[in-house]
Amino acid sequence: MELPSRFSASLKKNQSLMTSFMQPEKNNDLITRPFEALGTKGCLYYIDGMAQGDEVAQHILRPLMESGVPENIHPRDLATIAMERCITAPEVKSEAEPHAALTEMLRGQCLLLLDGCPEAVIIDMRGYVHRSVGKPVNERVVIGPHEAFNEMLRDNLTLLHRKLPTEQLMVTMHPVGTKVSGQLAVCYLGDVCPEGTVQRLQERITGSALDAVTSIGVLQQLLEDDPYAPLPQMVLTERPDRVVSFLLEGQAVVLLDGSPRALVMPVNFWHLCHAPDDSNMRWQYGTAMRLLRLAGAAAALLAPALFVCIYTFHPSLLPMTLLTSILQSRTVLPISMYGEAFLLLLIFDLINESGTRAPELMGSSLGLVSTLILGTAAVEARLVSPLLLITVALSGLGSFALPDYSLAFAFRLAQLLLVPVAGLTGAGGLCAALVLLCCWVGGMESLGAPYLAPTAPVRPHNPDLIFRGPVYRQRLREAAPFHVKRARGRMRRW
Amino acid sequence: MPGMLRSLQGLLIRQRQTRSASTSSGETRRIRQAGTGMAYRRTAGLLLLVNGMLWAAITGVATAGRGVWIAALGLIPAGWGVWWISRWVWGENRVGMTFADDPPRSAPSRPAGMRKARPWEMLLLLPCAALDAVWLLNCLLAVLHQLMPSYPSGILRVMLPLALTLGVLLGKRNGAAYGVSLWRWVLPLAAVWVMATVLRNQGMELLYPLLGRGWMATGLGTLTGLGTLWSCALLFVLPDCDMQKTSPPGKKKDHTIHYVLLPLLAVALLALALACLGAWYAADMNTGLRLLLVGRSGGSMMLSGLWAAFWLLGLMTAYCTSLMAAQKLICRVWRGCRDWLPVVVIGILAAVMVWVWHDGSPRWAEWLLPWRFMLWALAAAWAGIRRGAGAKGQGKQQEKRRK
Repeated sequence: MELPSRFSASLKKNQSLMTSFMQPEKNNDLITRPFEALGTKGCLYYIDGMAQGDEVAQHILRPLMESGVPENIHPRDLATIAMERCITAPEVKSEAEPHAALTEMLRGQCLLLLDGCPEAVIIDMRGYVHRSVGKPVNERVVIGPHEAFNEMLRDNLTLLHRKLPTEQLMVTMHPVGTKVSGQLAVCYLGDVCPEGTVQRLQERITGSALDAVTSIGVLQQLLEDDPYAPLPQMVLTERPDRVVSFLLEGQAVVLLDGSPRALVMPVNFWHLCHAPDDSNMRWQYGTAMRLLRLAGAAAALLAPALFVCIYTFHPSLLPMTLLTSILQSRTVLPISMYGEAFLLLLIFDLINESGTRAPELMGSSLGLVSTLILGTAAVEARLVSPLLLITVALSGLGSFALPDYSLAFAFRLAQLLLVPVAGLTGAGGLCAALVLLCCWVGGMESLGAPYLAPTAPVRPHNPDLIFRGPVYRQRLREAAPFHVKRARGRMRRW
Repeated sequence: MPGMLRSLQGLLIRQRQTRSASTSSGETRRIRQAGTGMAYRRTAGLLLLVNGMLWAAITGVATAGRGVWIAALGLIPAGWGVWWISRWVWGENRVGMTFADDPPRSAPSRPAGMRKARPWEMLLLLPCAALDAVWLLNCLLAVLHQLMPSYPSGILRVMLPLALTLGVLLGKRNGAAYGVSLWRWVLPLAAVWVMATVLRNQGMELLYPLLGRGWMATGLGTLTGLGTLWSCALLFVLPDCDMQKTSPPGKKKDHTIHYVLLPLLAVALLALALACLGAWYAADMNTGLRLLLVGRSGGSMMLSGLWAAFWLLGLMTAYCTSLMAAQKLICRVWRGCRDWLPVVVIGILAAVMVWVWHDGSPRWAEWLLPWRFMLWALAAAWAGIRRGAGAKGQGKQQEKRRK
């Protein structure tokens, strides 16, 4: 339905506009409250459940109805008088365009129309039920805050404002979705984040033409540089402290109303490998954890493929005792090493997926059944070899050590691709696949910034890639293209 | 003593991050370009390393015998000379053209003569890149045939060029250079470790007679190795390696020599190891066995595997570098050329060549390899002449403007 460009001064016309747009005969959620105030008739609209009825009565209806009739006023000024003298809600504004006003009403605000006034008054009395700030589900830490984002955009922005009480924290609201208008916020630090980054991001948001953006994951797919790339080009995080560290580095963050995660860009590969705990611990422990995590990632990617490749094509590289042990265990197995490895990886992923989807009460027992009983039973039934089972289990643990869920998934997918390559073509194929992946990942970008920076291309950076240097050595803000110093002189001045 | 401790502390502490901080978009663009240029230089260094080691293991030992290590040492001053000439011709040092922080708008980015020399540079250097691609692929297949003798080589001859060419294409503009440069420490360090371990187990008495087959044979060995030095030109010729754009203003130090000297030192180390193992060489030894011999003499399966992995990854990354070099050489002359076209053409050419000569190393290729040096010399001479002519012309123009 096409809406006019401005509200009419006639309340009846506006009411018929509302009726034809909202169709209250079918849509019973619309609350319509006619009343008289300021010497004229008015009507209040809001969606049932989105606004708190008590608050509406206390801050809107009672003050309006109890106000007298002001003298010598033009009907055009009724909206201004209502906002300035009567309504006691903290956030009010006037809106002349019906489309914008109705969009706000559908988001939970109250819409007030007065006879003779060609503007509507939008009052924020939102009070719908929502989840409170809880603990992170997927990004747990030992040392560090235990707050996580929730589905309310306002709550998430509040968390950021609490952690970053600076006037430079810019929050720009954008509508998203061509049919169902959602709301997102682009956050950045004005004195740190390059203008080009914000501009590019805003262009991509404006250019995303989906009818409804229902989650941050959908938005990620609309905004990322290369949807066919093997690795994620943005960080999705549920931790406010992590978002704050990204903002301080000069990156931009997107928060979507209805999604409990924030989207951060531009990022590089190392951002996806770093966990929040690394910075919260002393540099020695952070470095050790990081090295362990990278070893796990390498094991996740290469261990099954290397095992299959060496056993199938280059058994002479194995020590004789180990080779004998493997051969003895494999004499009674019905399937080839390559098939066995592939099957075990698939079963591991199936267990993982079912553990995620299973109801909470069954989740722990399902894990116990699958890992212990199935694994032991499979070995005793001589379906799989114990050494390969251990290799696959270790590679699975290695993938779970990666802090980013998308990156871990990408590594598990790459595992599944490398095993058949290694099993069919040996060391040559495996090395060629590695070189191909390196070149492919090298060409990736995140909001125009090279994905493997600062390793390739090299640029000045903090000692915070593989080895996490002490925090007082980390003087630069990392986000390309600016490298602004965080501190001058010594950080430990005592 | 306190001064020494302070300087040691300075070495250990990474001061680099406190030195350069950019707050202007021009400076940050320069930093990114410098990083890209460095990635390309590293790939050129890797190409020189692998080519040099191939020469040492295949041609060097066959020509100079036990004197191959002296022949390899002779390549170091030659490499320095080739680097110096390449830098003088294509690098930052332009006679009469020095700039302050930013070049004035009226000044061209390169002398006009240099732009006219580009088509000839491409015609002379492109065959080097193409020959490298064929040779590297051939050696790679030889190594794999040695590692997996019963595996059908036809599959590898199709799969390997396809996978590596696809990798370069997927890297888009600079991704292949970034991806290859990731191996810049892993591969050389692995190789040096294996060679050092092998050398530790050998006695130096195995080097006698020092000159091997005599001065002539040793000199001839060095001459055959000169062809590997052509990739010094890539340190400066590739468009993203423009030193003028990437060096900080006023900075005169040039560290590109490290991309020549360090690989040549590694080649000399390999030549020394091969000289010690000279007794194991047979005249009819195939290419794969020649390349893997050092690792298999290490006395450990791990060393053998590591050496094999070095050759596999080194040959593949060098092959990708030769494809990238061909792409950049063509695209800097032919502006409208699609990035993928030269890569696909050279990749197909290399694949066809290894299909044609599937029964071993093509002798004509081994004969052609040293002539890469002549092609480099012709390209450098022509570029030098055009540069001189261009500088003369610009000098005349500046005089006219002054008048």
